[in-house]
Amino acid sequence: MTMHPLLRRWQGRLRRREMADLLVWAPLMLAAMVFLVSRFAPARFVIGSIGLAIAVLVFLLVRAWLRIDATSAIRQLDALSPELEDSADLLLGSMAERSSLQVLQRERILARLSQHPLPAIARAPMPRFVVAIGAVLVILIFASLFPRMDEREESKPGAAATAETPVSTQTVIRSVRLAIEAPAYTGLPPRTESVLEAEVADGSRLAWQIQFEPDPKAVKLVFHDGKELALTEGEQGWHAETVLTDSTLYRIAVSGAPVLADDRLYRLDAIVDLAPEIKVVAPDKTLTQLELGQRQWPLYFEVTDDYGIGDAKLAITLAQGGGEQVTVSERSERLRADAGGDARQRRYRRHLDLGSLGFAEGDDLIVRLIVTDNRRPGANEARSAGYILRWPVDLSRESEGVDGIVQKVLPAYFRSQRQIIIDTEALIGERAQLADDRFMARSDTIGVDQKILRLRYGQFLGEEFESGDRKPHSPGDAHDDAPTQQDALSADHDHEQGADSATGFGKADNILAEFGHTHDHAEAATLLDPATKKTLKAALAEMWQAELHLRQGEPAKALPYENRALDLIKQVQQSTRIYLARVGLELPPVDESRRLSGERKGVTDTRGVLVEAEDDLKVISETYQTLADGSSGDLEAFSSWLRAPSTALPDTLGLIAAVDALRRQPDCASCRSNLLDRLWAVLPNPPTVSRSRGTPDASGRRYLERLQQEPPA
Amino acid sequence: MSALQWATIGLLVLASLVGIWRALRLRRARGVVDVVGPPLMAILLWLVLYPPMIEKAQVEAVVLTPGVTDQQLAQLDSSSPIVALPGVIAADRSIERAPDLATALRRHPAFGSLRVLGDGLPERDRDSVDQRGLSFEPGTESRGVIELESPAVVRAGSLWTMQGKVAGVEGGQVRLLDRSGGVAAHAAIEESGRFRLFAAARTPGEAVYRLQVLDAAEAVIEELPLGVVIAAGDSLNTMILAGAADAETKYLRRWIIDSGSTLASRISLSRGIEQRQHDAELSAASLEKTDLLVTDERGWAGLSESGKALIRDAVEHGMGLLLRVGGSLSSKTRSEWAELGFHIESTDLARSSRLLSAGADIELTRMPLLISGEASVPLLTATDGSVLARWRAFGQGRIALWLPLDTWRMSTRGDKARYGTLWSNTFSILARARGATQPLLPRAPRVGQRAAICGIGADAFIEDGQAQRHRLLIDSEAGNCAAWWPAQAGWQQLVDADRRVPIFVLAAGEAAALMRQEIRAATRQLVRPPSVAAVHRAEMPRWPLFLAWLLASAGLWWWQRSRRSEP
Repeated sequence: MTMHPLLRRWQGRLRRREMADLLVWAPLMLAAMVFLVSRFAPARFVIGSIGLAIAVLVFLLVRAWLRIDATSAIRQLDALSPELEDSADLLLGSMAERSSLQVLQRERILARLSQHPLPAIARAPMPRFVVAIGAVLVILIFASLFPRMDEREESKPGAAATAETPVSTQTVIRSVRLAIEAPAYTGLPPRTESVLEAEVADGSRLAWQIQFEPDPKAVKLVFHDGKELALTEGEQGWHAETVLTDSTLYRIAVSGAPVLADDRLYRLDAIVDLAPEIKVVAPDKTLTQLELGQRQWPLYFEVTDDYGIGDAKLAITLAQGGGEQVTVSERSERLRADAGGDARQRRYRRHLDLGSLGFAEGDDLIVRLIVTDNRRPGANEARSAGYILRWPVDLSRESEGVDGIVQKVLPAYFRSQRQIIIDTEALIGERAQLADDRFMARSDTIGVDQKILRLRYGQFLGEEFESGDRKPHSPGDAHDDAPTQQDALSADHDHEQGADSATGFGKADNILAEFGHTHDHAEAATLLDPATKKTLKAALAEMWQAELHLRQGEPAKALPYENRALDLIKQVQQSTRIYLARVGLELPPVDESRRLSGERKGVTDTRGVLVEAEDDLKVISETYQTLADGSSGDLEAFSSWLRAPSTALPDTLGLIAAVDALRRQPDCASCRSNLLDRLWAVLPNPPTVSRSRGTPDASGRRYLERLQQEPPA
Repeated sequence: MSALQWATIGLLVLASLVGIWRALRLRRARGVVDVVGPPLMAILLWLVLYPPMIEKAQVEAVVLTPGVTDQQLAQLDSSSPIVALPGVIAADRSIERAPDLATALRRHPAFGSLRVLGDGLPERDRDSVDQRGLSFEPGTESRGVIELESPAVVRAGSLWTMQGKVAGVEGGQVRLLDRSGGVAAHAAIEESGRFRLFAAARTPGEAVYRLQVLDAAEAVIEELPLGVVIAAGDSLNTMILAGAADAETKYLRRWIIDSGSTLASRISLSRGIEQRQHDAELSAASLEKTDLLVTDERGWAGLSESGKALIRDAVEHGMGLLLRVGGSLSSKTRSEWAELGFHIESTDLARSSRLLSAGADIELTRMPLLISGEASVPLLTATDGSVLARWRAFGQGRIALWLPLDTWRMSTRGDKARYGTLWSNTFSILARARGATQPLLPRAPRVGQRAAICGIGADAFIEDGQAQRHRLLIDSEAGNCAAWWPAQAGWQQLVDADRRVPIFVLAAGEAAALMRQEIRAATRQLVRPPSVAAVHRAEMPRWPLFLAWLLASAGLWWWQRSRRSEP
């Protein structure tokens, strides 16, 4: 269909108008929607929504364009120009099929149109829904400008932090680098931590590198035992180095800057290198009888250590002869470990050829394994118990019939004081031929014998063995599995093994109840009269001194003490009178002025014989009760009590740190509860208390009275 | 009758009068029906509106309670009415739900006997059962602790025992964890599900333990808190009169002093030589101050007649007396002690006996004597059932006869706590009553559940963990009791005058198996057969009455229409 150019121009104007009207509101509204989406949705939705908005806009424009077709353009032209006399449609189509009247009319309106310009097109009013939706969008956008509730809460502390840091009321640790280099023998790789606390092998080298904000003038590490370590400033921050030999707590003290934001005690745990553990697989008992026709004695040891096992030596002692004619020959040989297995766990096998050792009837062959680890300086040494192979004097006679009945008693093997003196003298004689370390080792061995003897005599004074506290570096160490010399000594110690599953573990008292008996009743040990006790005490003191010098490799200095100890022991042996103490009998001195006068007036024992026992650990329960009641009490005093060297608790460092935390923040509930938890774990068991029963009321009293008056049936 | 009913009657009477008047006036042909009809209609309408009460047989209702199994739900008979109490999870929406049993019974007067499925009726519903018959079918088996018996108050330093029963755990164990996370006690669960734990009480205060039930794979099945008050001791004034020094006296004296009691003692050593601690003279004044006197047969024999009379008198006035038998008794001592209420016979019992004390089997030596005495109670019993010690009330005081000779071995063996527990029990029973009477506290109170506290003063109140006070409404008529609904779990203090008594409250969801078991046990108590002729009065159904009214009024209408069209 052909259109008159005039009509075509009109249609173009109409279309532009329509699109302009649309462009007034649609892009703005779509942009508002996209903005709303971008407030709440993730980025990909925003991109999608932009695309969608453009698509919608294009669609709306195309629709507006298409809506203005020829018919609607003619209708609008007719409506707007009355002079066209509703004949604008004549401008459309070809002239061929028109009637003459139509042609005439067309000419007329064309002439009118050429006289008058095309009418102006009014701007279309905005659709009504635009206003409504626009208002909603404005409200939504306004609402979306407020921060969300959770955003607001999240942002608060962050805002506070950012606000505080620059104000610099507190110094903040910006970065921490703690380089840990374990001793070379452990084979542990060096590592770095980014925290101030660590568990490291004993003897490790620690290097701190700390950066502060703001930078202080001087920094030092203050350890809980009072030592201080100053940090020096370098390019990478403040640094210092030290070698850790014991578990400790420390605090960072800054000067020339505000206090640290997190000013607390940091903990360094030193993991102690333990001595190797020896497990004797064969022989399975300490005293083995030689079997008929036995040629060899198989030995099998398993040794474990935490970092690696060093040398292993087998000490072989052959005791020959009987009665007074015992000759002892000693030798030692290095053992080679079985192939395979890592350095931490080794097995040693040895078949002793009895013939080549000169083992004969009536002899005892005693072996013990001595293992060292690689610790430097001062390797840990572990010794197994002595294992004895005995060739009985008359094997055939003794093992008849009653073999199962005869209880073979294991004697306690320890050297006499006289033997120690002989050994010491021999060692002094050989001084010139011996290398230093060999001399030192032999002197130390005699020192161990001296210690065993001292402990043996100490029992008579009611002393307990030196056990319990594990000293990892001392050679005569006790082991869990392997029986030791101490166990052998305590064979007469009949520890009852009443396995009691009901008692909890980790309780000192319960362990004692399960495996032993107490020796801490001073009265129970008074088997000797005071004079003998005094002599014996003096003998022990001499032995202490002898042991001291022997352990230091000075046998010559030890000799006089050994001799004096021998003299004193002889005196004790000669004193025949031994008294049994009667309970609590401590008679006061006789008052001569009253003697035989019969005057008893005013004689009273006001103090009493028994006094209440003092308990060192009472301070723990007192502190616990004060803290549990909600007050703080004297934490200062408790803290200094904890730091005292005499305090031996399972986790003293942890307790000190917990006390310190509470002292710094007295109103911190979790610190208080943490301290209470730790205190609870070390609370002593108090003596059991009694309670009075409730007083009966009037009717109860009357009931009891009536009961008493009732005649017995 | 209500005003509404009167109004209805008025309207009905008026309507029937109008009906009669219209029938008589408008129509010529009158009949009896015209007069009788309207009142009859009115009466029938009245019956439709207010049906008469008739007697009806009651039905058995099924009450679903929490813990009902799916199987039980599937087997429900649809013919009997079903009501679900709160907490029942049932997919079937058609089951009626009731906030409590009383509401359900009010809604349905036809409910006669009840058939309770599930865990049973909680405390609030038990009273509403009233005299109804009740049968109970428990639902799902519980898993965890279903019985627990533990002391609320233990003496500091003593070994305390708790026991209980676990259901649904095969070959597991129970552990008691203290506040530091350490294991205070542990025990294997027996085949019957029972367990016993022994723990040592330490420093006085309020302790919270956690009881863990572990299965065979050591996985935690249940964990529940356990509040124990560790009580500090009272200082008792004790006096020991010993005829000779022996180990028992030595360790007893040591324990008495360590436990914070005061001790006066006199131990005869030889003729004219005594070992004394403080002033142990017998006088009325000194005995009045003494809470407990311990003596042995030699000490007793060494007393003068006046001394014995003084002791007797003091016991009547409240003192405790412990008579230890350490050797053979003279006939004089026997007769004197018989006067105190103990008859002693020599028997051929073994001197060695065994005693079970806090899980340990202890060997004790005892005198081979048989003590009897009316109104006396065993104080210590050996495992073979023979009595090692007895006590009886004598006047206001108490007397005990004690046969064991070597309890001190426990102390030397390192079992100080066990030794102390044995003697502190004995001393606490025998010593003079001086302590304050304790209020009667609820057992294991729970958040949101009613707990009763008895024996408290008029202005007692509860102080919760945040030091907030909660008033108690105390009923002095009912033994000074008050009901209390705890709102918080944990320790709360009952403050009565100047006395503070801690109470441990369980949270609502804790120890669920234990609570279910309690509810079941309480519901079982309510089980009773339904009464045979259970009837209730109910309204007659309306539909026959309505039908009658409809028929009658239709008939009357037809009658009157037919009459009108006749002329």
